[in-house]
Parts: sequence; C-alpha cells; structure tokens
Amino acid sequence: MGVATGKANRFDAIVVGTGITGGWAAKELCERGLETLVLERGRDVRHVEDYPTADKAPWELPYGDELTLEDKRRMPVQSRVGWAVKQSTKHWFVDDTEHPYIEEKPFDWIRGYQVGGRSLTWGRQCYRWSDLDFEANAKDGFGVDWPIRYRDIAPWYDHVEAFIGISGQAEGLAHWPDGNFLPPMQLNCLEASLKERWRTRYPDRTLTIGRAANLTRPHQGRGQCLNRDLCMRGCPHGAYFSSNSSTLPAAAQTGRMTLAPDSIVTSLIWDERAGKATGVTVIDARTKETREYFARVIFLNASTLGTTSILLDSTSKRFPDGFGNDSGELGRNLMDHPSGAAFGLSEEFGDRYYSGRRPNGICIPRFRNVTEQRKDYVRGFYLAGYATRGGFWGPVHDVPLMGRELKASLSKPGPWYLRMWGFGECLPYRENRVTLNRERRDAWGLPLLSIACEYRENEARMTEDLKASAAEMLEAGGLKYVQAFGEGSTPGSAIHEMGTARMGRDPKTSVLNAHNQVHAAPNVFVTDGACMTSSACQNPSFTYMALTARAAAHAVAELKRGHL
Amino acid sequence: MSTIGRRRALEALASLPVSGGLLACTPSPKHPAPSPQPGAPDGPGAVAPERRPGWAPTLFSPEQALSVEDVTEQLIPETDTPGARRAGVAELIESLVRDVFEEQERSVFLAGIAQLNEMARETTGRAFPACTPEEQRSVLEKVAAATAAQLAKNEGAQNAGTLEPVARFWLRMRDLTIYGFAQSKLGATLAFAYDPVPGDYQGCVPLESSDKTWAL
Repeated sequence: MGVATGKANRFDAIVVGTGITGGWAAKELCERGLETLVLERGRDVRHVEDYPTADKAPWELPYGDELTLEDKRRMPVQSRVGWAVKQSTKHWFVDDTEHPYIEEKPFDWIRGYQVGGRSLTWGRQCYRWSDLDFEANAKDGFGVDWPIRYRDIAPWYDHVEAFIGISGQAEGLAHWPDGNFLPPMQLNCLEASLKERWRTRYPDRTLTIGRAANLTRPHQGRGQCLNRDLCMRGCPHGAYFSSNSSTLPAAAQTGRMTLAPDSIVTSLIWDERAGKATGVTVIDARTKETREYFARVIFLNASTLGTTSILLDSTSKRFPDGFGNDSGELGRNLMDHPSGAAFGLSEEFGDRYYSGRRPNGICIPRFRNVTEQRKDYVRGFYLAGYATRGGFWGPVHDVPLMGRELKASLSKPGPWYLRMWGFGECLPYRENRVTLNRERRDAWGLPLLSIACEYRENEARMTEDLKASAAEMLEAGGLKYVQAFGEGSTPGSAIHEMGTARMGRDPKTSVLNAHNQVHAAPNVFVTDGACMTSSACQNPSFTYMALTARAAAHAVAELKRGHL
Repeated sequence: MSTIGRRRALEALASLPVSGGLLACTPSPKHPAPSPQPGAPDGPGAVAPERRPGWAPTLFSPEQALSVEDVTEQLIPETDTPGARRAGVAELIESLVRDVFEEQERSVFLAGIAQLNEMARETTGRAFPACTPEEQRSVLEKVAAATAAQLAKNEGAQNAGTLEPVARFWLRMRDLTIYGFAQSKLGATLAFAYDPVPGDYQGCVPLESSDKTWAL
C-alpha cells in the first residue's frame, strides 16, 4: 500500500507501529476524527485470513512443532524463548539475521515485525497498576516521580476494558485494583483447593483466576473463547484481544485510516524554523526507497526499543543527542521483569480431571512490601501459574516400561501438579541503557541498537524471595517434590522490556510529560513501553493501552484548542 | 516406578518449558533428501528384502528405519487401537533426527541403533528388524535393564553423557515415541481423548474409569 508524494502524503496524524499500542492510537485518533496514516515496518497480517496455523491439528505441523536447526540458525535470539517460538508461531517472530543488535550484556530482544506486532503473541494477562506502583519512585528514591497517579489513568483502564473485554474475578485489593470484568474462567480442582488452603495459612495473599484478555462471552462483535489454548497462532474466533482482531478493524471502520505495511520509519522530521516535528522519513522495507510523510501529530508506538531507536536516530541542531533528549535520559532506564519459577506435585484428586484447555492461569497478586517493608529489597513481585495433570513424564521416565503395559499407562492421566512462576519489579537504573552504534548498520542502512542492561542486587534478592515464597506456599498447600528454580533470568526474557524515554515532571530528568508528549516537542507522543518511568511487576500491556487511549484523547483535544 | 525414576521424572517435568509440547507426526518433509547416513553393515541375518518401513526414509538406511519403526511398535503396540507403527511415529522421529537434532545428538542416536543391532546379532544371529517380536522384546528388556542400571550408577554424577549410546537411544526413543504417538492422528484420535474445539473449560469433573487421557 504505497502512498505517493504530494497531498497524498499529508495527514492529520501519523502512528508508527501497529502493535498493542499502535492499534489503540490508530483506533482512538481515527474515531476522534483524524485522518491517520498508520505505518508498520513489517508485512500485513489480516485477521483470520493470515493466520496460517490457527486450525492445524498436531499431526499437521512439521517436526512435532519443534524448531529445526535451520530455524534456530535464523532465529538464534528468538528461539531462546522456546516455549513461544514453535513451527506454529515462528512466522510472528523476527529473523534475527536480518535484524541484528548488539548485546553489550546479555539481553533477549524478542520482536514481532508484522501488522499486529506482539499483540498476536502476547500473554493476555491484564492487571491494573495502583498508587503503590505510581508512588514507588518518589517513595524509595529510585528513578524519578511518575507525573500521574491512579486517578489519572483509572478512567482509561475502564475505557480499554470496555472495548477489549477482560475476564476475571473481583478481589477487592486496593493495590491490585479490580476492573469491570467479563465472567471469570474456572479454577480447577487443585487450584481451588490451594486457594482455600492459602486463604487460612496466608491471609494477606489471594489466589485468583488470571485476568485475561480472552472473552468468556461474545463481546463487541468478537466470539467467545473456545478453550483451545492456541491463542498465539491467531484466533479464528477473535476471542482474544489483538490489534488484528480488534483495534485495527475499528480504525478501518471509520474510513479515516490509511494502513501502510512494509514501511520502516527511520526518523522524525524536525522543522528548525517551525520548531516542531512535522513528519517522518520512511524507508520501504522491500524496495528501500525513501519517502516522507507529514502530519500535525505523531504517535510513536514502534515498541519500546523500536521507538527509542527512532528517537535516538532523529538528530538535528536542536537535538544533537537524539530527539527530545535535553535530559540525557533517552535510551536510559531500561527495565524488564526478572523471573523465577517453582513446581510441586499433588497426590490428591486422582478421581478428578478437567475438560477443555484453558488459555489462562492463576494469579497471586503482589504481597511483598505492600503494608510491611522488608529489609532485603524494595518493591515486589507477583506469582502466576497453573495446575494440570498428565503430560506423560511418569511413563516416559519409567525406563523398563514398554508394550501393552506402557500403552495402558499412557491412557490414564498422571498426577496433578502445579507450575508457578513470578515476575518481579526491576528498578530504573540510568546505567541500563541503549545507544546506537553508527559504525554497524543493517540491510536498510539503519544503525544497530546496542543494549547494556543487567539486573542488580535488588532484583537478585527479590528473585530469591520470589522462589522461596513460591516453594514455601507449595509445601504449605500440601504439594510434594517441591522445587524452586531459575538461576537468574536474562533481561528481556520476560518480553516486558520498557523504559528508555520515560515520563516525568521535570524536562531535565525525563523525556515525556504527564500526557506522553515529548517535553520539547508536544506534537510527538510516545505511548508504548518506552514511556515507562518504573516497571512495577504487572504485565504492562494493559497499562500501555490505557496510557495510549488517554494520550490520544489529549492529542485531539489539544489539536482542537490549537495548541499543536 | 523406582524412586530414582520418579525423581528424574519430576526434575525433567519441573524444568520443562511452560507449554512444553514436544512432538507430532509430520507429513512428508518438504526438504531435499540428503543421502542416507551409512547404516549398519549388511552382515549375516540381514533384513528380509520384503520388509519395508512404512515411509520412504530420507536419512536412515532400510535397517535403521526398520529398527526405529520396530522399537516404536514394541513400545506402543497395536492393541484394540493402532500402535506406533500404523501411527507413523518412526517417520516423525526420522525428521527430528535429520533436521532438529544437533550433529552430536544425531551421531549418538545412530550409534545407538547400531549398538541395538549388535546386541540382537549377539543373541539371535540376526539384525534387530529380522528378529521375531518376542526376540525384539527380549533385546529391549536387556537394553532397558542396562539403561536403568547405568542411570542408577550415574545418579550422583547427573551426567547423561556417561551413558552408552544404546541407553541414550532407549531414553530418547521412549520420549519421542510417547509424545509422537500422542500427537499422531491415529494415536490422538483413537488411543486418547481428543477434542479439538472444547468450547468451555470445566475445571473439576469426575474421572470415570473408562475416561482416557487428553491427547493435548
């Protein structure tokens, strides 16, 4: 969908990226009356039509859905998350050989360069932040104060929920706020029993069903989840939220969206005379021709590091160190979520099973450093997991078992077990940063991103407590063979990378203001993960979407007031 | 199951990735067929010429292919439902050995097949595929016993690398066959409970004695 020069390259707004926030920016800006150009660096992916593996039976997938050596050669970084990248999903992840970057320290940069981005493959878990999170930087002094509080974003969580549909159970926790939920998915036998046991043993901890962007009843024209647990392939029923199933169709329906795939935004165009950004430069992903597009408002939603790469490479006399980088904080304060895991086996409920494959698990909201302060670390983590029976690991490891006896044993489900994992908050450290290496360039001539990020003492101590707490809870719940594991996760591996263009009150220490506008260029908005001032421990996409909807409303209001 | 086996099983389970699906039957691979690796030399008691594997191998020699196919069927035989041979599990295993295994894993696997056939020839004078089913079962029981003994000895060392090729072959064949069978069309739909579109999720239902494990 090439857009020529002349009037055809002028719009009211430009949105860069079609992932989970780009789709929202497109929808909100279009619905509020703006003619919007939506640029995506990757190929088009139309809902349902372009989900090649959505209905494949297991025997229709090559290699048992495992990646081949050739796949891994092309995707050495993406294949680090082997649980996500399979034959049935590999087409949603980048070819690392085409999109190299520099790991000054280990960093798993997991990316999806197609229309929909990682909204196709996300985990769909949605948890609101509270002021426990927004006030954290101010209270313990790490990073800078968020320029907003829960009351600023609460109506926008409501707004996003109303459109995307989140199923869940209200629990009444002030620091893990409830939303307006669709009916919750069911807990299974083991999970329900642990909920009860932990209620008495740990009164300050709650086990709840995951709050997931999977529909438990039809919603906004999309179908209810049919419990196949194949979300990452793309859902033919539209039963989970993605840009492809939800926001992009809504934007298209207004008639005001122009969607341009295969369009790599390389930099913002800064007009020295006007003192504002007036558009973007694009390189065609296939032909490598360059084009320019112009708009009054620009939304950067190219994902955390995609957006910051564009900002860093948008230099001018006004911004010698990257667009809007008066503070020196652009590229800095990169965060992800350190993780750990645990496991336990049950000897109960042998006469119980489940039916269906629930694409959602349990959640134990943060319980550390909520009311009492620990001495060994600040902030907190939350736990997630699921119980199941089977897999065939029992018979597999019963070395002499074979023949009729083996076959018979496979046909009966194995014991129940619970897998748990947790995500911890990462503090904002200035030293965790990205820069551009202009000596090394990719096939489109773009400088490579160089990432220097590591977890430090607070993260290490928190992770130890995460594992120990999980193991203790499993033991207390009556599980056997309890183990905790995870020897220090690699930054990036939670796929929640955020920061590098943070919001703040003071232009001297932040890149963006309270409405996600670049302090020095208020017609440029950054609403993807790059804007984050702290990381909390919750899965971040829901918060990104709320910030995006809020910023888009502000952008349109400011345009109408003649301020942009 | 022995305590050691159970502990190993739990360690393996605990460290599985979250959605640790492993294998499925593959249709014929869209892959140019490389010349097969040299198989065990034709010696006395070679495979009867009329026996063929259930697919056209692209890596294994006929003897290797039949050895793998026969082992899968010994592991999961035809009963009132199809076994691993009819389910095509060996063809899937070959695709994994050819394109998914690292070179080192591949050579250990092939060495394991060779060692299996050596053991068959020692007791029967014939290659493994030329043995009767009872003879094959007896050879595999010896392999399993030797594997269990080696594992028990290694337990402190936690070092699978010290296992003999046939022991490592046996362990790999067990997990590849089991998971491959569960993901095959005949296995999943006939030997297990298979429901591609469940509809709702019920978290706690009675398990009747006639209920089977879910295939997925």
